[in-house]
Amino acid sequence: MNEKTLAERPGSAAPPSDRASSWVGRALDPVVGILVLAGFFNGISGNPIHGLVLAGAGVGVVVVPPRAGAAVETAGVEVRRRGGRRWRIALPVALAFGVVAGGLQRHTWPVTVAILVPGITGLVVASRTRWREAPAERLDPGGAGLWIGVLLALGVFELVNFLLQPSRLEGSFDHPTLSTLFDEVVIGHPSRAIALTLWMLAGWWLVER
Amino acid sequence: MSNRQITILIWAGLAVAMLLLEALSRRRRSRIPSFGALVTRGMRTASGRVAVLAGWLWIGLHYFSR
Repeated sequence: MNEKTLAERPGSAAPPSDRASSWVGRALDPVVGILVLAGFFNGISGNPIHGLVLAGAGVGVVVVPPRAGAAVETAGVEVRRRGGRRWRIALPVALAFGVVAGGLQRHTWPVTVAILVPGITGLVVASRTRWREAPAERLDPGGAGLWIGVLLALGVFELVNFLLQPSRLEGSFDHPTLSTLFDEVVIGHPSRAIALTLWMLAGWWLVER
Repeated sequence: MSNRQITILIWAGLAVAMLLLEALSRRRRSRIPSFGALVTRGMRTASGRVAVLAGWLWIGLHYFSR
C-alpha cells in the first residue's frame, strides 16, 4: 500500500487546523517562543551554533507551512511496515557514523560538522514528513503524570547541580551535572563511538515517529 | 557518604525510575504509557516534531561539538 493509496482513502486526509495554516497562527505557537528563547540564551552563553540551531528551528516552524497528510491510523500501519526494512539500514549506518565521528576530537569543527549534517537532515525530513494532526493515542493522565514527574525531577536536579558549579563553564566534582559525568565517561574512541551510534539511532527512531 | 556519591546515587535512581516506568508500561492493560507513546504524543503536531528533533540535535551538539 503506497502513500497515494492511503491519501485517496475517503476521510484519510487530515487538513491543517486554522491556526497552523497561517504564519501568524504558527508564530503564536508556544513551541516557537520556547525554541527562540532557548536559542537566544544559548547564543549569549557562548554557544552561537547551538543558539542558531534552536532559534532557526523556531523560525522554520513559522515560515515553512506544514504539509497535510494521511491520518494516523492508516499512516501508522504503513510506517510500521516499512520500519523493519529501515532499521536494517539504520543500524549499520549509525554504527559507521559512530566509528568515524567517534574518531574525531570532541569540541572541534570536524565533529561539529559531522553532527550538524545528519542533525539538520533529520530535522528537515521530520518537518517535511506528512503532517498528521489526527486524534493521537489517548494517554492516561496519571500514567503520563508519572513520566512527567520523573522527567521534571531530572531537569530540576540537573539545574541544581549546574547552579552548584564553581562557575558556568567549570563542572563540580561534588555535584556533577549530566554533562560533567558524560565528560568523564566519553574519554576514548570506543566510548565516543558507542555514544554517537546511540545518538544517531535515537534520531532515526524520532524521525520514524 | 560523600556529596559526589549522593549525587551519583540520585542520578542512578532517576535512571532506574525511567527504566521501571518503561517496564511497567509493557504490562498488559497498563495505564502507564511507554516512553515512545509519550514522545509520539508530543510529536503529533508539526511544531512538536520540529521541537523534539531540535532537542535531539542540540544534545548531539552540546555533548560533542563546539
